[in-house]
Amino acid sequence: MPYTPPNGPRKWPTYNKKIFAPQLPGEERRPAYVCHMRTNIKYSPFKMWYVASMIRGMSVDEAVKQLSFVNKQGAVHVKEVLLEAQKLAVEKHNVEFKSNLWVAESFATKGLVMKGVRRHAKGRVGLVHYFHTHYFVRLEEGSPPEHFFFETAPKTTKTLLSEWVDEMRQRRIPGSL
Amino acid sequence: MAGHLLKYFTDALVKFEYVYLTPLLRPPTPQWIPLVVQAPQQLMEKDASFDIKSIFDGFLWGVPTCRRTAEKRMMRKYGAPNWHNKLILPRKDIKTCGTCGHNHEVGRLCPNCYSKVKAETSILQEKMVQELGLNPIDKEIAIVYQGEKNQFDDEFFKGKRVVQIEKPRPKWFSKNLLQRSGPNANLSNSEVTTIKPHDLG
Repeated sequence: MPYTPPNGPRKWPTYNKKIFAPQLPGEERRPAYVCHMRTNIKYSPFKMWYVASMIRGMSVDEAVKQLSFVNKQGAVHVKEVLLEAQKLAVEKHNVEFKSNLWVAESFATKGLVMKGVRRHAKGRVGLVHYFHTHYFVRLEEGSPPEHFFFETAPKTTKTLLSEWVDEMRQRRIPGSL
Repeated sequence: MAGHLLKYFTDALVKFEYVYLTPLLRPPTPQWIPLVVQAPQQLMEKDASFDIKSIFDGFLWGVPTCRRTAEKRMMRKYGAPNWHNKLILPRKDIKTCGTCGHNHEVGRLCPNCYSKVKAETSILQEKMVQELGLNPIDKEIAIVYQGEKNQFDDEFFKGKRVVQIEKPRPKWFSKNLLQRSGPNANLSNSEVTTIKPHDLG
């Protein structure tokens, strides 16, 4: 058989094999994680982005529950990948409880692009792109963080005060020296 | 005199070469180079009524004329909360079914429970078609599950067509469902009794 190089990403699952240095006695325990992916899903990466971004920072159970009610084809694939990753985590990555996982990373990239041709009026021709997408997810052990996105987290009184003071100090009189 | 004549002929030959032969021998010039240079004033007069948009008259239809701003691109991709939100937000109207534990939308039946009901209904319908054929249903049908025949008295079966099902009654299929409670209900004192929840079936 002639050699066919493997197409698609290969680095993501290698993060599962990474061996960390032994932890110091007083150090906080590093949570277990599992990296899983599915390559060349017949779906557009631009559409998959919406599904992938929805579940960031959710617990696995919540993510699976929400994805069951998302009317998108990509949601089916993402749900399957999540359940596969959950299973892997329990069986191979020393995770005790399958519900004690949350979605730390979730993103989609462009895969194979097949180009086709379509007809338009008056003998004109159009290009058609048949997109594929690679979907990547990393589940981490533990309960999900309170606020995954820094921007949407409520600001403390200290930060609010410092921001107000900065705004006040930025004021200038226009036309002055 | 001979030298003068010779010079005359050589001049003529050079002239002939310059006028007729060299244009043929040198590389051809592109067509658009104006061989006659117009006076600048004439050019200005001609271009006074030129509109830049006239370049679209003959060709270049259906092509962007302005660059899309970052704001427009962001709006198209992400939407806005008060306009058309393109982001998929997590839903808050998902409830867990108390019977089976599966999730379902608020205001809809639990699909897991309903699929069980559907399967049981199709079994009953098949059995009914098997026993009664496709004749019009003029009498009420009494469905009797395995081991229930002796629970009913003969008066129950009066004016009804019996359909026997060779399987035990499902736990969720209450016998009380068949009891009529509308205006046509013939409730006698003996029928109206207080039943405890675990006796409902």
